[in-house]
Amino acid sequence: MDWLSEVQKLNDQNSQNVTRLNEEIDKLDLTLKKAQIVVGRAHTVAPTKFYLQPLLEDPIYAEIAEKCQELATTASQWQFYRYNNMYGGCFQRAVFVTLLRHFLANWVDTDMAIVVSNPSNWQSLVAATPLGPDLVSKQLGVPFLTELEAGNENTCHLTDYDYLLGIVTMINELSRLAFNSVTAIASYNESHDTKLPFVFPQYLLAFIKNTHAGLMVLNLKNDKLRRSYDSIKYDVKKVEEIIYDLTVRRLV
Amino acid sequence: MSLKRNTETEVEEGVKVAKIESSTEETAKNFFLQFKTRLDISQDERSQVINISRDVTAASKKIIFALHRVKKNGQEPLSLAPDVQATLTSQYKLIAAKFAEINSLVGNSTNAYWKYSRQVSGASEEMIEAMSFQFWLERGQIMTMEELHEIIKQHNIDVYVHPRDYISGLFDLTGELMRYGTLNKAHGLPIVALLREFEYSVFVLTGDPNLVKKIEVFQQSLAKLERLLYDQSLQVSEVV
Repeated sequence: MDWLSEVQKLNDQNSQNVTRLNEEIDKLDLTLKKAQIVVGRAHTVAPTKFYLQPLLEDPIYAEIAEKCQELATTASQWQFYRYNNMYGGCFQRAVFVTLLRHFLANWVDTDMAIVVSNPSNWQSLVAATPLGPDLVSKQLGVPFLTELEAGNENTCHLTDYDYLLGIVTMINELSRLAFNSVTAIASYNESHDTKLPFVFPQYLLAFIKNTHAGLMVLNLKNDKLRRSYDSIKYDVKKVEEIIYDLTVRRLV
Repeated sequence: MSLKRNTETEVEEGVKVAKIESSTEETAKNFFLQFKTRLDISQDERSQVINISRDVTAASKKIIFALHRVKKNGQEPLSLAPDVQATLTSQYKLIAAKFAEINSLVGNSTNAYWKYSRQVSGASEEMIEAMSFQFWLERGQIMTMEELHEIIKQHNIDVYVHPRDYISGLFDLTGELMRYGTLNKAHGLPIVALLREFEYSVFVLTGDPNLVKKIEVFQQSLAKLERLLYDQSLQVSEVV
């Protein structure tokens, strides 16, 4: 049975590659889980520099970049499209964590003194766009390449798809953060003399709406990105309702 | 007085706020425009590849149907009737042209193969099925990977074949053999013997999720043919 030896070869070679790659993927996956716990602390603390700064300076982000680079080096041995679907999900989460951290850092850097003295001025502070793909790539140490740039090279890289899915995941997370920030601000105000205004949820809404409007420019086909993109309209609605709740109670 | 002032500021601020909002929204839209062109191009390419692959599949099916009309007479190598040969020639030519079209669109590299393997592999498997069916009719054997490469070259087809496509194509072949064995009872026994060779390979292949469905179908085909042979043997024994 000559043809059967071909089967054996195929199985052996492929399973070796997959095992090798899975080792790296598991390491990155574990780091990402830890990182999601770290950025997840944003849900429990009041959105001020004092509370957010520690979770933005955690060493976990450097570890993500390290693991991403190790995975990319291993994966670059083989054709890019051959195994990309195995680790694409991890890259998308790494992009998401990077984007979320940058978003929170942006917020922390806004001058809270201005916000507190004149809460109606917050709109001018909102970031118009998320962190761009090239800067995300720089932070993770994995190249971002368009399909044209990647050509037929094996170089493991971040794709448009990874980046956009990272964006959508971030928006989903921010709508949840909007809820929890109301709780966190209220509990902060209960125990402190200087009251925090409810600016952060408004800031979130403006950013989510901007990004949603931006994503609407794209023609998406029926795939994972399209399905997750479809969920953003509910995120917008959710956060709008939060602002409505705050408005009727004269809290904003 | 104080009420009036408030209303004024509110109106003023409302205008200002609206301006800022629309300007950041424009910035966001411009930011995402860079992805739009790229996504459009890659989606167009993908749908073109899908359409061309469908043509390859259709041509391969025509070859397979033509081959089912061939009567195997125990003479090996078997020469095919002129009308069957004509269908084969024209359809293989079409397949060669379609693969050339895909290559000019996406480039002929193993990376391009993996990029579109989901779209193209189905077509390659169908083509391999047709080639291996013809091979079996002519020589009564299973085509090896080397022989496949040679046949592909003979037809001037330029396509990268991964061993997985080859094996999948052969599993598709088992369905054709079952059909052929059912319609041409004289060939039932040798075909069943050949199919049992595939049965052993199932143990080796269990890990490959792409083949699970094909293996199931194969097992059903084999069972059908075995049942048929059993019925035949009963009839024959009864008459004697």
